[in-house]
Amino acid sequence: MRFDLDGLEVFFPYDRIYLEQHQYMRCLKQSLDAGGHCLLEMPTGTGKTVCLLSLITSYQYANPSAGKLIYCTRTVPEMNHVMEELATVLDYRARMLHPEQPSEVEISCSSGDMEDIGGTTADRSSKRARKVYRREDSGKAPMGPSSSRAGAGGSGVLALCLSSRRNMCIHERVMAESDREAVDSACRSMTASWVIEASQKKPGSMETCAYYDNFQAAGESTSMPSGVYDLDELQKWGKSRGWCPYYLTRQAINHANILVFNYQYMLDPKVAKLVSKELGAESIVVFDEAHNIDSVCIEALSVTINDRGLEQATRSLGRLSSEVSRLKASDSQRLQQEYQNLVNGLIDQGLIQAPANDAALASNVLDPDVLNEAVPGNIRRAEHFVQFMRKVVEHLKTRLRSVAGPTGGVRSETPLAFLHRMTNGTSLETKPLKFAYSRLSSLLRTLQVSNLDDYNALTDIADFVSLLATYSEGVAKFAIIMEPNSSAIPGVTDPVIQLACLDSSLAIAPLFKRFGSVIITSGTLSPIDLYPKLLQFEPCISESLSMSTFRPCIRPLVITRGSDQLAVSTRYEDRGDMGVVRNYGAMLVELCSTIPDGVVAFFTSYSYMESLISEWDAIGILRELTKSKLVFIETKDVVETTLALDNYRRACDCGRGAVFLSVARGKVSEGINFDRHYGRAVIIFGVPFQYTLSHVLRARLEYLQTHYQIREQDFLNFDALRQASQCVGRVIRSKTDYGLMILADSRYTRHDKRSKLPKWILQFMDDSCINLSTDMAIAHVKSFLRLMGQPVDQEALQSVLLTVEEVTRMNPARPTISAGEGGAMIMDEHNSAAMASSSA
Amino acid sequence: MQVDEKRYSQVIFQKQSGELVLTETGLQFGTWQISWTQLVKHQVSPASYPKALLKLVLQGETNATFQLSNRTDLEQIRKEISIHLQQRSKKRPHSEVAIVTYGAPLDATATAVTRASLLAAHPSLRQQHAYLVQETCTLTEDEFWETHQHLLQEEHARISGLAQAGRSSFMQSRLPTSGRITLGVEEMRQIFIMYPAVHKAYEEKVPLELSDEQFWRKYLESEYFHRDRGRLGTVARNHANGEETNNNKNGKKPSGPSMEEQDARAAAVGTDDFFSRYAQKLQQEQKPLDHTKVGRRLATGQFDLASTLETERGHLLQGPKDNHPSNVHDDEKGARVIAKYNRHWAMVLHPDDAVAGADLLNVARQSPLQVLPDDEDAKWGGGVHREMQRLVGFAEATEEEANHADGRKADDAYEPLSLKNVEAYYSFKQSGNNTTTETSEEANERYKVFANTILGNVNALVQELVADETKLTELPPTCFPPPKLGRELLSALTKKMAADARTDSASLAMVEQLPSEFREKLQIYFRRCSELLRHFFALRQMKNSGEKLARIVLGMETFYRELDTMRKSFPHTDAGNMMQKMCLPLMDQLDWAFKLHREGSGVGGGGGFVTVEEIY
Repeated sequence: MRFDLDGLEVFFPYDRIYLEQHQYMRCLKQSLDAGGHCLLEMPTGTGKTVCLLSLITSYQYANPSAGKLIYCTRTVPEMNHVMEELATVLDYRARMLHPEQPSEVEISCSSGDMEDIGGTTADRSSKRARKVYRREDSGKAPMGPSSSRAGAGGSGVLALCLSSRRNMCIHERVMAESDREAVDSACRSMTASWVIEASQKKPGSMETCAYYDNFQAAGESTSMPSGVYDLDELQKWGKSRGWCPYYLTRQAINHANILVFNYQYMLDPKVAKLVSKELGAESIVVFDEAHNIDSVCIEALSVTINDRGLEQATRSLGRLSSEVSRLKASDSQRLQQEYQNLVNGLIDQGLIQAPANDAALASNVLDPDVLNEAVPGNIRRAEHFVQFMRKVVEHLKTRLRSVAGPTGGVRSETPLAFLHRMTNGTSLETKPLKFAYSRLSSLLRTLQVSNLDDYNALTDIADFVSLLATYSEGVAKFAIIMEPNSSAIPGVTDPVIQLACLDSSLAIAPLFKRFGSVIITSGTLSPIDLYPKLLQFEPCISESLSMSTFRPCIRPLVITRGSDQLAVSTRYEDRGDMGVVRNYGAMLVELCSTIPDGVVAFFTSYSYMESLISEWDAIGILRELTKSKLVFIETKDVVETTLALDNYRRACDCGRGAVFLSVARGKVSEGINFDRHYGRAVIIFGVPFQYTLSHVLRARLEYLQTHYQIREQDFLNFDALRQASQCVGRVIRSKTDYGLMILADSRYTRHDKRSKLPKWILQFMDDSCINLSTDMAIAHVKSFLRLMGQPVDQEALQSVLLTVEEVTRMNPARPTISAGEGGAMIMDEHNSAAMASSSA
Repeated sequence: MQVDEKRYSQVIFQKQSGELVLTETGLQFGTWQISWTQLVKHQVSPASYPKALLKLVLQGETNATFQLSNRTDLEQIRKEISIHLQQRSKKRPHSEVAIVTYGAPLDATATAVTRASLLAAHPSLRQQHAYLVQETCTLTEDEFWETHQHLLQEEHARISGLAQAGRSSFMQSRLPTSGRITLGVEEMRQIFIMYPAVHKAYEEKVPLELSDEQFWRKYLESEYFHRDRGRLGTVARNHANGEETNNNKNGKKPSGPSMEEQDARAAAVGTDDFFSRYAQKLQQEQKPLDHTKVGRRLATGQFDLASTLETERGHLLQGPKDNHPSNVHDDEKGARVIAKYNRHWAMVLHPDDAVAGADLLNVARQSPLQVLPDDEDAKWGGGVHREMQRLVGFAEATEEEANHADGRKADDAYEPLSLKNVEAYYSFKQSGNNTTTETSEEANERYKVFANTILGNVNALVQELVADETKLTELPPTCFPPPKLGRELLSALTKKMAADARTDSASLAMVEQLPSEFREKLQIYFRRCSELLRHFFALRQMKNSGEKLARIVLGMETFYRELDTMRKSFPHTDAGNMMQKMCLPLMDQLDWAFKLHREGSGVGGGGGFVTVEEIY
């Protein structure tokens, strides 16, 4: 449908729309208009992605001055999914704008694609009215270059996605490598500038990548026709032209309108400089599935150093110094050149991108000294720098030894204290330390090292000291935590020094400063008022939307007791109790024998799951379980888990039914959907708290308490509950879907826990659903399933879907207000009135 | 050997003091005789008990309790009786013992299911079944399966996911380190389970290229056999000794293989070893499974967790981490349970797809090894620990498949230790590439050297004995053959062996010439013959089997005639003669069986039909 939203024409590729989708778009638009950040929570499975995409692309179309859309996803499958949705949206828009191309375009009832918002194929075909506009010929959203429409009107959009070389490379030999690091170094060994130079001087002397050569040869003439390119399409396009898709994409970023990539390209300062330099301040940044964004931010700036790393670093230094002396003998010119560059400062050398005259763009990850000044004299010479780093490494080794030694133990220091000891111990100055990371990159480049992974450990150490020196002053936003034993294996000491970032706003702050609109959205952001505190920003819109339903398709149940009325909990002191183990087991067996098809169960941690499973195996519960369901279990091995998931689906498909045992903080708990018969129920055994004895966590809690006034228990509850709601949110992916959410722990009855669940779950949770024992819960389950098992009431379903007319009615023409600044505030008022009228 | 009589004095039985005598036939107290056959079992009083009591449980539920004068006597008599009882139980037919050791009988449904699944899985078994039960009615359904009890039990275990344990020790008992080796059906089956390569070789080579006997002889001579020999023995002993070895573990290292074994191994080097080739082939077939590229275009539905982990700093994107420390003690156990259930689906859903993700074959093969406690040796090859496997794979890789990343073979400086170059570790180190180009003269030369070495050892031994034992000095010097004769004998033998051992390619070429229908026919005849003989020998050991035995013999006779007719129908050409010759071993075996049957007595070769004697 094509409708008017507060003066903006929105192209929405379905002919009906949910109320919350409309609200969601309205919020988005208001925040874009206001040029501010926003925080939006919308239930899973209500078509968040399509709303985001269709509104922002429509906005871009209406306001050509609006910048790029930068869409950040967490996983590669999610990225592919976004690209698919995007293709649908853009295709629809192109057809609406150019209806004169009927041969290529037809309106059809979508078939085949199961993953979008409509639910199953069967679901969709029964919903006669809800059509999706897709091309008939492919049955799939059109991808790739859209030659016929290139440059025509507003549809000339270039949408790209970027991933690592491993996912993009098309060179046969490089592709044969299995892991990322091998792929990277194989690629670098053929594409590095000095390799290219050498091969130009003496053709055939070095192996180069034909795709890269072709790409370079084409030079500036390389341009991509507009269209939507996902990873496959990029590879195809690259192959057809003989161009390297990875480098092509990196270059094409400049003129792409829509970019889709991983969080790290925005948040990790080391990677971000690759791409973010080209992004204008007017760009719109979207973080999807962003409920864990604070953890990602923290991880991006934390460094861990252990024994092995230090040893490796020592070896790397040895290699470096021999390289340096070799180079000195053979080509001292180059070293001299580097020295000159360093005198001139890092920016001139091109190691750090100049902040382009815009003060707002300055990264606060790098000290202004590093940006503006020349590299200190004592580390300019390569051999001096190697010596310098050697001292640093030796000092860290001593510290590590003392931690592991007899007088050692867990220690926590502020960066300042740590730095003080380091400068005292090594008689090094603080200032050169700040430059360590940049200086090392420069050296590696001068020495023409293609296999950067050999120097990973050294790079980490340089990163460590640079961060340390940069953030030693002022409020301690980092903590140094030294632990004598991080290893899980008893008897093996593996001491570590961790530079833990405590402030999640540090990594993301440059983004808030630099970009006009940063949109943080997810299915679970409750309690929504905590995020602005954690990330230190002021959203102009912060909204948690509830779900419009035609039937109560979610049934949250809180089971607090087993059938024997004994309270069940994974509280540390209770979890080993045989009664709890048995009750949890019996609960799972009973639920599995009542609930058809797929059931997913989450445990609080791998170790707890493993011990519980061995117990269950011993007392015969698993055998009992296999009578009604096949059992699949998540492991730490990615491939095995993937296979287990795949077979789980197969078991659900064939009707045998299956139960998937998983971990609340594992890989499956996010991003994998258990919709429809793949998940009729999700059970969470226990409250998935973080490991509270972790020293890093303790330091962070302390920091939050003193600086942001977030109480320890509040944060822990918040963190556990967002994890729990992520897990239970897996169960429902569309409105015709239904599912049980079973929270099995006596602690869930408490208000401080329950209140932190998202609004759209709480709206289905009444008093009869809490504080149940297993047998009562079974009765609930039975009645719920009987109700939901009935055919979908089409009339009722239609009632929650708004038609174009209804949408127009909600948005009466208001000529006095244009889509400009200030409009947002007025609209808000109107919005609530409209909602009231529509729900009445 | 046993001393004929053992006497224990001051033994009290029913308040009478007297002398207890152990003889070959039984026990004697005064005038009262107890024969060994009467004795079911014996018990002794615990060490804490003041009196030294011996209780004998006799047939018919009667007991007799003797009080011995002291503890040492009691210990001794206990051992003596144990030995006697063991000897007696050994004489019992083999198959009977084997059946008893396995689990409880299956219920009717399970039996039917297991039988059906077995027949479906094994074409040769199906053929036998069709021939023996359905066509000729030589056996009834139950009789047929009685002899396949092992297969049934195993299949049932496989279906229901049970693990079986403790077979290797059983095998050990039947394979002495030297002298006469008797291979029964059970032993062969064990070998096949343990070494799939041998099974493959057997299926392909027997009976066309090699006769059954030749095959087993080759196996016993091959380095493939000698390679793990002793290892399994150690494991079995460890298992048998149980806690004892656990306690002593730190005390002393197990000594290496005995001299005898070393010599045997040395002799095995250089014999044509097709088993290793088969093992290699099997390994290669399995390889694609082992080295699936992680995550790259994983052909499994929509889930690809690896693609994300493999981006720049993938750990950032995994979402929140599970920081909980893992509980190490349960790790192994939990992991095993998880592995079990993650493979369970294959049994239920698609047995055909089972190989896609789960290497069931391997899992099944490992299970008997897995349950042995503390078996460090058994981890070889079929090992429990992946790391161990990796290391072994490392050492075994050839230069072509060397791959550092996969942990196969090390840098070029490292020469992999395999049995092929084991000479490098002996004193008579040969220079250069002795494995590849070796003429028959050289080979003979080398055999001679081996023979000399062995002879030297024997001589040294004899001299030692002569020096030590005064009694033995009386031995006339002629009691040992003169060294020269021995040397000649050995060289003659080795020459014969060398001449006899046709190369594989030669026999293969010969076989290729034969018409394929004959080959198929012979294959079938061979299986039938084996099956009939197996039944024959099994039934012979059982009492009250006269009627069945007669039926089997009848079946054998029919079969013999059939075979004979076929043999006579061959034309008198070269190929025809050869084909006639190839039928002969089968007929010989049958002849032998008939002879035994006619005589109606005599001890057969265990439960099987092939007897192999080693040459020294």
